[in-house]
Amino acid sequence: MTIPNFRGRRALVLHREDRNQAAIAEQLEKLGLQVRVRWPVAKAPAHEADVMFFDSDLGFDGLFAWTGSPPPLPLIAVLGSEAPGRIEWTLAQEPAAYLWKPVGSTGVFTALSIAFHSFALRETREAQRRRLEVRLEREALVLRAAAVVMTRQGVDADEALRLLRHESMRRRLPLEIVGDLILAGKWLPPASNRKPRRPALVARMSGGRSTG
Amino acid sequence: MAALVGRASIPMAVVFSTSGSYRTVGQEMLNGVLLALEEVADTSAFGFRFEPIIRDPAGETAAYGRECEDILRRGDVRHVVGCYTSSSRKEVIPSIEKFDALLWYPSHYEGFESSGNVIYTGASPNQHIVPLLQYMLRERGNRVYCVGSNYIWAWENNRILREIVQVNGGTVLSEKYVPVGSTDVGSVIRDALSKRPDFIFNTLIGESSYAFYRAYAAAQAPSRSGSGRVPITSCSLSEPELLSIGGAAAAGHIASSVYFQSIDRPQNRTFVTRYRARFGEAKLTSADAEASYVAVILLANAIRACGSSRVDEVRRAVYACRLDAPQGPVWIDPENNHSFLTPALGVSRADGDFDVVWRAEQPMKPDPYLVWFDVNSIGRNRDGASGTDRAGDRVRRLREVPK
Repeated sequence: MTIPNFRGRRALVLHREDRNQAAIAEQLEKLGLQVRVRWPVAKAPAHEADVMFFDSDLGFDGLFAWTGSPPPLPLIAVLGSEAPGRIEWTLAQEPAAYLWKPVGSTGVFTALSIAFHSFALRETREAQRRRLEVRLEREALVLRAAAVVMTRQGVDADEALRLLRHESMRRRLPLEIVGDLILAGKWLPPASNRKPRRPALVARMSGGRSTG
Repeated sequence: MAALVGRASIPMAVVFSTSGSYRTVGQEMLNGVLLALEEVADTSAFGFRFEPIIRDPAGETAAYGRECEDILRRGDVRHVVGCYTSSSRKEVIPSIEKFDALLWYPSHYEGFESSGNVIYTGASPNQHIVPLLQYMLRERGNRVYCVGSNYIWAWENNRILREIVQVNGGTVLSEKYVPVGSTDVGSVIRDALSKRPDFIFNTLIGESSYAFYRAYAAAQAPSRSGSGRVPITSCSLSEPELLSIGGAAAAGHIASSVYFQSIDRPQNRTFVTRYRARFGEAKLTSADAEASYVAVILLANAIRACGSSRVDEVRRAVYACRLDAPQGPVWIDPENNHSFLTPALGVSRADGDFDVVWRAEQPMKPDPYLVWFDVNSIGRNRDGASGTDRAGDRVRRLREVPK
């Protein structure tokens, strides 16, 4: 891991004017960030900053411009109160790091480092999760299409999948598009002569290997 | 003791807002402190007197921090009595901890804090909102309308309420917030009346709260006075505030408090008499005045016991002090620096007093983080058994036995 450098990054500090706000801004400037401070504020837009600090004591629904989760940029919660209601609201914003009041000369650099690190990690994992989700959906669709082929053409699972793959290669279409066509009743592979060997679909779906 | 021989003078900071939107309460607190200061000065057994440095932050949060830091920087002040709102307390704690001073904080609050440099003499949430809801759910029903000032006191009490009410199968009909200091409450009142709650839970403070009680009474049919109305409940309503509301509008509401002027004990009668003699015959005492008085007397007793005003020695000594306060016995829990206090419920009267309708049998251990509070223990005691009689609470009961 390289030593984190935040030079030139844009920081937006959503915190009422007090010693904490001043301490955060001062530290950020020392670290080479471009700092802007706003309070009162509502619907703070993500595109104006690379990282946002927000006051968890006075935060409210509508403080940020975006809705839903996860947030589009690293957030750093600045906490004073430990009242569960405040913690509950803060957690709902999904901050990437936390900073404690009173803010002194230490803490801001660590919070920034943690925030960018955990935000990047979260992004990577989120992308990975999305890829897996798409793949799962695709596989489920192909298996449903294979089941249709098995029933309609009286073939086993291996043969049904072979027919799908064959058609996918022939037409140069992704496998799930072929699956879509079958499920929509727009295409069915021609009946094959092969006899079903065993009801292998269940074994296949639960991760069992075909005995060929 | 040597250091204190010869009527030594011990400087003490007193930081209350006697101007600004919650000045009524700030004045009560200051009065409580002044009464205690004079009692200490007049009691030769103490062997010292306090030299107060009084500041008024006028309800402005940042000013609390400035005033406190300014006084502590002098170097000779170790004890600060003051603050009312949680934001004001949070504002001074960094300075208090930096200078290793002791803040004597005399207000009920929403809990979820415990600083080694703060002695909390007001009620913790298990001593104010929990007993109130226990009573209201049993006596009135579980359809609740919440209205409060838009800050942490209201937010957190409403969160606790929501949890308790929902576990009891009840409904929070609405949760309305008014900016601190605003008296624009008309639309909230119309909404509250139209939703027909079993009771209203009010966490408004200062002028907002008084305006709410007045407008609420004005919005009722003339036949609906006093007990005929849906009651407004509160964990902060006090006697002087009833006078600020004025007349019939102040009557028939329910307050949870560890102190009422009408508590019938010799110690309280003395307190009330002295308070009136000092501040005027028409003056009423309150929980805020009592907690402030208690804070200073506890501090004085601790200094007398250890012979020093050093923070570490005073803190150790105060844990061993037991005070027969106007409300009853009060002492500090070394586990969290909050006070053992006796919760009570009162119904307000037009003359500015409360009729006490329920009072705990003994002082209750403070539970600022509601660690020992089981939300399922409320509202299930309709057969008359008290929560502490249940087997699961035996351990807790042992912890509550007075020293």
